[in-house]
Amino acid sequence: MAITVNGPVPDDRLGIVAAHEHLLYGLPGWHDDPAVLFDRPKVFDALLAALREFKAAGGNSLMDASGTLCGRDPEFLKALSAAAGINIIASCGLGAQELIPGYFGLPLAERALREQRRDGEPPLWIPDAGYIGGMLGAEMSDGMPMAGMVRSRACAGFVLCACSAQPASEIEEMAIRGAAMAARRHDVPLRLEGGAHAPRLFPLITAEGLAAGRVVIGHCDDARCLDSARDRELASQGAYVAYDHVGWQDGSPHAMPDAQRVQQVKDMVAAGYAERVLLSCGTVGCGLGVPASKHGVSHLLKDFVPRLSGAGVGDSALHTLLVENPRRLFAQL
Amino acid sequence: MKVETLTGPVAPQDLGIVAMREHLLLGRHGWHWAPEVRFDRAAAFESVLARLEAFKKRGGGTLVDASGITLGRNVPFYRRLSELSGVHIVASTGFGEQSSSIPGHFLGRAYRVSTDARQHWVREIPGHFYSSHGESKEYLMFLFYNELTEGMAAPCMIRTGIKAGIVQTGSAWDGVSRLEEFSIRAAAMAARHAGVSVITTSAGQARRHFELLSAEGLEAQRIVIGHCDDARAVDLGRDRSFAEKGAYVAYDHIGWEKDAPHAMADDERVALVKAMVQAGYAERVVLSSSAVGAAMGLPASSHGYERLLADFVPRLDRAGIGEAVLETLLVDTPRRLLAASQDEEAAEQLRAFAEGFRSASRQQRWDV
Amino acid sequence: MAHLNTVLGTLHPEEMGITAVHEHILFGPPGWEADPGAWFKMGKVFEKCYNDLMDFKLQGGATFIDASGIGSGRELDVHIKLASATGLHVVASTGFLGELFTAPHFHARDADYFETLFVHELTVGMGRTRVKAGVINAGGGAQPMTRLEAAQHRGAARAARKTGAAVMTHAINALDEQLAIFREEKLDPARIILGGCDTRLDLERDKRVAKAGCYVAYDHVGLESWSRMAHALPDQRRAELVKAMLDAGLGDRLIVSAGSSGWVLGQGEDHLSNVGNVLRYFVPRLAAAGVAEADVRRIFADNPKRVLPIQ
Repeated sequence: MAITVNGPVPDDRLGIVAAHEHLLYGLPGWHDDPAVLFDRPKVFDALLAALREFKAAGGNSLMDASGTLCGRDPEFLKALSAAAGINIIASCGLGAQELIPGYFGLPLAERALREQRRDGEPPLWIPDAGYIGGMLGAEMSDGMPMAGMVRSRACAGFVLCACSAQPASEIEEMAIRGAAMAARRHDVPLRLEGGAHAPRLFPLITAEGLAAGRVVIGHCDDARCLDSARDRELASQGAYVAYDHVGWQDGSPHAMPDAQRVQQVKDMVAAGYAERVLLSCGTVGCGLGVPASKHGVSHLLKDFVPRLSGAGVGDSALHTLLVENPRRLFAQL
Repeated sequence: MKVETLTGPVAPQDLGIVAMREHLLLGRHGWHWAPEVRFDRAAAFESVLARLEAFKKRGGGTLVDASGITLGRNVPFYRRLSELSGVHIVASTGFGEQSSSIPGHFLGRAYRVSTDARQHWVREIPGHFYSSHGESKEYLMFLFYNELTEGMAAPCMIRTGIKAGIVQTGSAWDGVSRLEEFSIRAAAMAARHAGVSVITTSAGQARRHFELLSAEGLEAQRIVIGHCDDARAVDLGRDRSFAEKGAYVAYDHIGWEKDAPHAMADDERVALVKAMVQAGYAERVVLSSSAVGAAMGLPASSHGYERLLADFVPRLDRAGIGEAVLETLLVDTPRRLLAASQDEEAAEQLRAFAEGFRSASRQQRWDV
Repeated sequence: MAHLNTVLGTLHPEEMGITAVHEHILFGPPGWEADPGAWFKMGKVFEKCYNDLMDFKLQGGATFIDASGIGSGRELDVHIKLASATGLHVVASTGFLGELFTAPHFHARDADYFETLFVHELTVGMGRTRVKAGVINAGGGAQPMTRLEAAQHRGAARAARKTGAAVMTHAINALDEQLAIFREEKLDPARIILGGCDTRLDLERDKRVAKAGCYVAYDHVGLESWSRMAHALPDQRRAELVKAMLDAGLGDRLIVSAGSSGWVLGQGEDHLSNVGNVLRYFVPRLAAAGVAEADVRRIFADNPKRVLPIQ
């Protein structure tokens, strides 16, 4: 079963799933910036068109990876999903250090300061992994928080976490462990974006009791840290390896030509790990203070899939990659 | 027998030279919702202060603000200006012409529930939007009376402890609407009970205004018929007849010589004053300039409050009006008009009546 | 013409009266809205803030500067409603209170960006509103100052020079670096309010910076309890500092405030300090310490009137 923004959908009805996209995306705080203009109806129209195109190309579901903090708007997603006829599975989670706002970090800094000066009692509230796990869990069972201190009825359907440095900062580690706890308790997938640190963090996640088959190691097509041995190792442990920035071919440090991604997929299929690979484009439909991606979500089906076919990846393998693997990610284990 | 000003009660003998009808701020009710009206409070403060200081420098002592409740009055703003400039400011309560100063809240509606449970508006009646128990000039009376005796309302549900010292009232130029009639009657009742005077806003319906005010028992000595120097309705005969009854006439648009339908040359105003003096009515004339310190969505006046003293008084002087008469016009008459004289017994009766009225109207409101 | 930008429009300096220079209505680091554990009933919090502000007004207060800055609890609709409901003049500020109070969207920016942002908020409006900010915050506290905080200070100085606004700092630990940046940007010391001088005591420092022209703010009045706050100090000591500065002839550079919050986002009621209590308890303390009434007036009315308006 997958929890979409408009309610649960059986995993065998998900169809072709784009496993990592962003409909709305912005850094926390974007709404305070007078230079960032969000023309809501205009954006809705544009995203609706993009999703309809995806649907016409055969797509049926999409996982939105904006997490708790990066521009997610639950009611907007609900309306968009209903209008486009596309299942949208939203995510919760805090992301990497640079995306975590001061509310979570300040108490830790306060405590550190006091320990240093050896005076005063600790702050009234300090986050920990359990607290974050509870917070994220509530997003999946009760609904996602919206502006104005209201909880939407739309629930998140998977959890995000990320790491940007070695070792992970205190708050990053809490966020990762909390994400893992929440994912286990609610039996949902977890996506980790950790680049080269992923292999080190994977055991931290499974130590919280989350099954490997619920874990997606994201952005394994990051040009800065390509590592096919890593990909095979993680796959052999039962996790999913995601090549989910298809179409990001230039203009960013992590970008690389799609032809290289085709090779990555072929290598994994040849190594017998077809059932461990997920594909997506990591598009940004509407950037809030950040640029939108040049390519749209249909790029996966209209451009990349033909390339894969052309490179000899058969229909049955394509079906596994686009339908079976996501289904299994959400299905009863 | 004190005069209520923005900085507290002042003894009548300390008022000095009084301009009886001016505007510190002026705007039609609702101006603050108009996006094209830019109110720069700091700049307005500076502008009004400059005009007040000029008035004081020329010998001015007191100024009466004629904006009533809804035409731009701002109590804390006025008080600070009075403190800084040293000019006593007397604020007014009351409404003027309906179309510019009486908002819909005060238009009561009577309705009847028909047999099929649909409601119909029967007619617009004055009083209070939600009142269903009939027309109520008492409602308006208490509105004004409370400002004279407890304190004026400030924006957003605050009653300051600063009292108004006079009541403005009036109507449209060419007629008196039902609501305006109630407003005028209520002004008379409030003034009578609080022991203050009433000054009217325009001369088009002067006789009718006087009738209504007198009908509610306000004595002539408490009535000032305003804007008798309106070019559209100059009538010395009318002015003498009011004076004869004991009321006052105001030539209060000194300086408005062009750019308005009511404007006329100051020399003509001098002639009016002279005529009244010669007819023996020097003690019944009031002078002012209706100058505007800062305007919101309306034209400001090019002249300030000092025009009365810097320009008009010399003209009167040249026309042969002597010192003693000038003293009467600028000091004695205003002092008589502004010194309140509350009748304790009447006030007590009113308090009792007020209690009954308030509880009755509150109940009826919720019966709707 | 010198004027103050309040959330209801401009204000003439002569209307300012007794001013609380460094306070907060709602205050807290960004991100709390994502944590339902930090949520609160707006009506209840509004009432609490309303009561605090009315108390200040009844004690004689007239103007209230909210120092929350961008993303740190600056809820303009609440400010506007409170200003209208109390008749107080409420001023909101632009700027940031340090890296932890800066949301990720505003990281990785340079001084030019911050200058443009602050100028916009002071001259056009805060965020996407047309309500103008009245003063610029610059905060932090790490030593050395982080790159981001230095860029924010630089942007603040430039925006202050361009618009005529004052800068209020919240980072006494990094004072030397701050002053170096302001000096490089040629910001007139008389446009600077150094906050937190009562959180890390150094009277010689205070005298030195005041002689150079900066305003010295003892702005944590009421923060006496040692529990829970790392920079508490008995109010008696604050009164002594004020007296010492007056005796040194530096009374024209003194600012006193509570740095209180109506509501701390994520924490709740701020029991430790209260804006009304500055007038209720601290002013009598000053009198008991021998401070003349004229000097009290100078600190709470004349000095704010001189430094805060945009000129």
